[in-house]
Amino acid sequence: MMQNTEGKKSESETYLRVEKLKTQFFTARGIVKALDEIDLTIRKGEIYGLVGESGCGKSVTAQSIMYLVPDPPGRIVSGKIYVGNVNILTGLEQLAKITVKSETNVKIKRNKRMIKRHNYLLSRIRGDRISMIFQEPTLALNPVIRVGDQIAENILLHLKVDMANAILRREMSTRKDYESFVQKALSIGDKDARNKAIREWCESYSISDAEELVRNIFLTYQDPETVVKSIEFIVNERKSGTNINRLSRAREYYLYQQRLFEATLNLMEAESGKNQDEIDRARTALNEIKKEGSSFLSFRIINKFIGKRIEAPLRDAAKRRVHELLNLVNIAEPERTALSYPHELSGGMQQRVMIAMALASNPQMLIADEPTTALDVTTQAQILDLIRNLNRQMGSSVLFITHDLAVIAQMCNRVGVMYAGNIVEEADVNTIFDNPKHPYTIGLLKALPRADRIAGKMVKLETVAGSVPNLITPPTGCRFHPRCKFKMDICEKKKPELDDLGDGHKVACWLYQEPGGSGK
Amino acid sequence: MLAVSGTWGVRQMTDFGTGDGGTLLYVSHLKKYFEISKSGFRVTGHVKAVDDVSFTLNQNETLGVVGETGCGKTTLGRLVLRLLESTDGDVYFNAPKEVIEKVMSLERELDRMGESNDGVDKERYDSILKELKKLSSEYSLTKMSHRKLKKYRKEMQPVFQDPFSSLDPRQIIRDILAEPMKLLTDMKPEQIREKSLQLINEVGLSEDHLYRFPHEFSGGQRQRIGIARAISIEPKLLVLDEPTSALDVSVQAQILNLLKDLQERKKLAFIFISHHLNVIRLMSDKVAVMYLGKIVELTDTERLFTNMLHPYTEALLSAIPIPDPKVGMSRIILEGEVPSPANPPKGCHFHPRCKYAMTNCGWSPRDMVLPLQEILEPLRVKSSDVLPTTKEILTDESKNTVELTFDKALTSAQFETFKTFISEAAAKPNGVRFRAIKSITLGAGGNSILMTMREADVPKLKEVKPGHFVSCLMYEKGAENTGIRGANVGKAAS
Amino acid sequence: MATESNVGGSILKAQPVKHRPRVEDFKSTFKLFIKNRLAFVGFVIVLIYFTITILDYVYPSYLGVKDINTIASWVPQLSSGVPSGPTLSHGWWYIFGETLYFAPIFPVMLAALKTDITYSILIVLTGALIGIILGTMSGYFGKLYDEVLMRVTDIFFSVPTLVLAIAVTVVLGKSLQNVVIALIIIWWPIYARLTRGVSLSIKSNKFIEAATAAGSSGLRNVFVHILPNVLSVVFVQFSLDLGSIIQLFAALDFIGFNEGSPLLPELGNMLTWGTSYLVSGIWWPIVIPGIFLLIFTVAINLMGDGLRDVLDPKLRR
Repeated sequence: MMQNTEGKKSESETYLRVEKLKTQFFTARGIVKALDEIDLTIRKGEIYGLVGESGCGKSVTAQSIMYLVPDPPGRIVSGKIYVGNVNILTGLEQLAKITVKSETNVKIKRNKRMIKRHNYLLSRIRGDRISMIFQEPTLALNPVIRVGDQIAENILLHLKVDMANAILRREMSTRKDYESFVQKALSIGDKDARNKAIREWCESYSISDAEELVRNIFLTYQDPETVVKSIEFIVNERKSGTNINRLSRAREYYLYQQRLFEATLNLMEAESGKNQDEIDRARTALNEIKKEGSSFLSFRIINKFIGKRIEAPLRDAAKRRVHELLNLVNIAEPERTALSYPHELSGGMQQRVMIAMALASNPQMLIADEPTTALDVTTQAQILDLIRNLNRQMGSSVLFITHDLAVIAQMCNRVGVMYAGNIVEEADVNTIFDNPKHPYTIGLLKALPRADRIAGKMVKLETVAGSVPNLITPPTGCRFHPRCKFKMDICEKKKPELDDLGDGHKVACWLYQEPGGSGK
Repeated sequence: MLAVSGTWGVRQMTDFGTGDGGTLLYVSHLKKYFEISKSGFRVTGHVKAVDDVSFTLNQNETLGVVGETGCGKTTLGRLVLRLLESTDGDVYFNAPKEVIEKVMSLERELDRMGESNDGVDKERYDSILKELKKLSSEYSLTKMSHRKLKKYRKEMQPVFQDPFSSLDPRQIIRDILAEPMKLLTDMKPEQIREKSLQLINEVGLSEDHLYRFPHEFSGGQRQRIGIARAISIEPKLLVLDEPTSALDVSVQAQILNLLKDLQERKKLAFIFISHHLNVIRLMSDKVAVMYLGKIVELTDTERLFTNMLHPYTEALLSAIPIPDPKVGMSRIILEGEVPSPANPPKGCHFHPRCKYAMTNCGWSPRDMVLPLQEILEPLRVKSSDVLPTTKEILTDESKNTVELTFDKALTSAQFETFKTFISEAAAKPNGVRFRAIKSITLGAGGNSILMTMREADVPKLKEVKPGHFVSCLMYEKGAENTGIRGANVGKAAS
Repeated sequence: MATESNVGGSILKAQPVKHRPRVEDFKSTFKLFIKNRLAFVGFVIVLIYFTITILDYVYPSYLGVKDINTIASWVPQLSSGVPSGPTLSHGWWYIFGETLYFAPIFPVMLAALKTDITYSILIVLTGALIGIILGTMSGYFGKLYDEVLMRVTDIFFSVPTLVLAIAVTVVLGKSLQNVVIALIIIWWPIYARLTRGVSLSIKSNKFIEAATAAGSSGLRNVFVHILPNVLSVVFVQFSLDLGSIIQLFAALDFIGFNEGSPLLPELGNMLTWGTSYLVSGIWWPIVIPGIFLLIFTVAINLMGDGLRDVLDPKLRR
């Protein structure tokens, strides 16, 4: 409970908070301790870089945050992941009982009902609040569906209510609405602010394709009467004459679904606490909403048969949004690209489509798992530029995962260095590169061949001896100690905590902390 | 001493034999065209994976080959080792010094004959060709019989990128290491065993590892084994195809150090193929930059990184992320992607993405379609009678023409307007392609416009500065853009 | 993945050196295999069947007759009009009842296993050998050779197996040997196809290129590098095929292609004998051998699936 209130307090600046996350893989050869209770916070609007060598757990971190750890063999064993203020690992203990008899003999008893409810929760959070860009776009895109349809599908999945609202507003709008808008817009003197208002208004009327036209009208005409007239013309031109009754009924249904989701979420949160009163209250609330469901029976039957027709106006809107999105990711011919199949596009284009898809639902957070590793240098430069610009434009947070320190240096605000399932150092990007503290970070930076420095034939790189350990039997204490130059006795015995050295520079190393003072 | 040779063209600087040990490898006009066939039978085209590549390599020297996916760098490596049959061209490896000199002087003479405008002495020409053919059939790896080739195989070995597929999963390390020695030398089993032990220690593994299967090793260890196999028969040349691309940073550093160590001790020559420019800078003495099957720039490493001349090299170098947050990115973001090698752009392959492109760089009808649409589209929307509605844009690559058809006949005034549109576009800074239009004429019937593009010049790899070979039209005599480019060279370097 | 204990490979191990990597590898594979319970059960059943076959060869007199290759050795011992049903009152041999000529089903069936398993191993082994050699070469050398081989196999695949087997046997003449020959003829294309595909994918591995650079010739590449890698995949197919071949063999015998050996103890023959009694409600002569055939096929499939899991390189890594 303590942490719950804490979560709400810091919500204003943190978007993602991972606490003591522990993910393991139960294989025939033994338990792979992939993540060893890592802590991670990502603030709103920042690009957080997670860097490390293969097998250090960066991808598992991403998978865990999306709850996409392949199961079997993997499972999140314990921990909390707050996305906004929702813990997506609510009721984790109820999902499955894990009994470890020995390294190779593990029984996992899954609770099907709980898992079903949990998946329902996740389906609303994935995509809606967090999206992911994968390393191999070829594998992440469905090869038999046109990319435009794939993106549209994502939009429909998450933005139904908004779109239905906007379409209804457009269809039922009258001259009065335009007048009030024009009055408001004209009263704004600042050009940027006015353009922003125009964009929002267009979006809320589902006519964002006409945004530029509206802007031009405001520029060319000063007389409110003409402006209103022009806008009326534009909106009327775009009215499609949909069945308003049916669409508004559909909107009610979508709203009901949303309420149902929220109530379920409340119940799960209550259940994770031990307060019986709260659980009962949440349960009755959910049951009440469920009762409402019976009134939608006839609509659901109709939806079964002519669902496509009911959704048709939404689909139209989604298609327009697809073109906007493709434009946003710098695809030259959105109309043609939307109609092509993934294999017809080059690697760079596929990655752009992936990004467009991830942005489809306006998520507040983006996880990019090695998004440029499969690409060439020049294409990589394009994609990195794109991600940075999008981050700036949309203000969403980015968790950027890569093994390339150079990319980190150019992209990120804050960096976490991972080694063998632990975050060993965390600081803002300048500190990491100017003043690295952890022996591993230092070694990694020195081992980097650099294209911007003269390197004669005689120059040798400094190396970190050895290789990443096997995580079935990880080294005791600090997992880096077998490769560390500064190894001390305590390193083998006790795991160092991630300790703040001041200014948010955190290091997990015994060189910088007293053995007695740990665990605070 | 840098000793490089270009295409038929310029080969003034061939100062051979002054390096330690002299020229080890001379690759001359090497080509590999892969056939594209539909339905398995009819050949419908060629992918020019390696197109007329020439270079030399001295003993104990490293040539870095750098380029993006599909530029042909891996194919080049395989051709040099003759793991792939070449379409044309020669590879002289470990040939007597006189032979290489002879071949070069003959080729130089051929070039001069090709360049001179006077009548060519047909007899002399034929006799040179004949002599070259004789020499190449005797000494060139590409034309040798497999039996004879075995002698040369001993002197050159590959190291591959993927440490997982380069070791036979069913053999133990001892057998993997022994294979080249067993097949290429007369060593006795005893000697082979001894040598294997020495090798495995040399690359930092222990005897115990000889008796394991590849799947028991990590990527870095496998790469060590691959290197041990390659050096087992004491070769003079190693072709390293992305040897560290699949490895982690800390392991990569170990392997690179190992390679440097071996090179120093055994006086090896490397062809180091990689798309990682930072690794290339660390490892090579000279660098060849490849783009769509051709070498576009070739010079020694420091000069390439500080004073690059080719626009592609400039863009490539500026795209490398630098591991220092304070070094701001002054990237040249290239537009678009590497074109398909099956259908590369005309003239200079790089021209559609080049910011210094000139009118003679190879603008062809297909480059015009989109920009023309961009001009015509707003007109159509306005639906004014500035121009009739465009029906089609037809391109004819062989005739080098673009044909615009309209639904109505154009008046002469409308034709003039169109011309002004084009000249307006040409006047814009990025309107080179419109400047490359040679003529605009009204087609028969008056409802079409025919535009003819100017002929493309093909750049050749030329020695622009001593020891600096570039394939770019900007450095030809009387080029339009030399000044602009020259000003940029210093800036990009800093 | 299994032994990542050393750091950078620079530490020499002190333990006494005992180098039997292939034995070790086999051991760990076997351990992984028996972890799969179902596969292990299948393996044990198959082992029992094979033991019986071997016993039939080395110590045939345990079946209580001089010549186990004809049913006539067992008759007549009892006679009561119709074959008696399963019972223990006449001793173990009569536990499954009697069949034609009042011969006891149990020992006859044990003798039958010898015939069936021997022939099916013979067929699969020969077919696999031909198929593997042709297929591997075809995959490695490609071009015209490959094209011809693939078109030939296409012809074989375009006709249903049983129909083709019947046709070939009719042409060659109805006898046990010819059934064997017919099955070999229709069986090798399966292996040719399979190994061609596998060797194509192995060929693209870099270790083949490394071997070429080490002076290995094309034929040497095929036999030293490609074949051993193909074999693990073939091994799985091989084990699965034993089951289907034994069924096919029995089926061909059942529909009367074994002229000249009607009294041979063989599962197909036993089914034939049983059919004449089926009308009068005597089910055991046909159901019991059927069950034994079924158990063998299921067991061998379970084992094959287990093998596939274990030999899958992804799992092994």
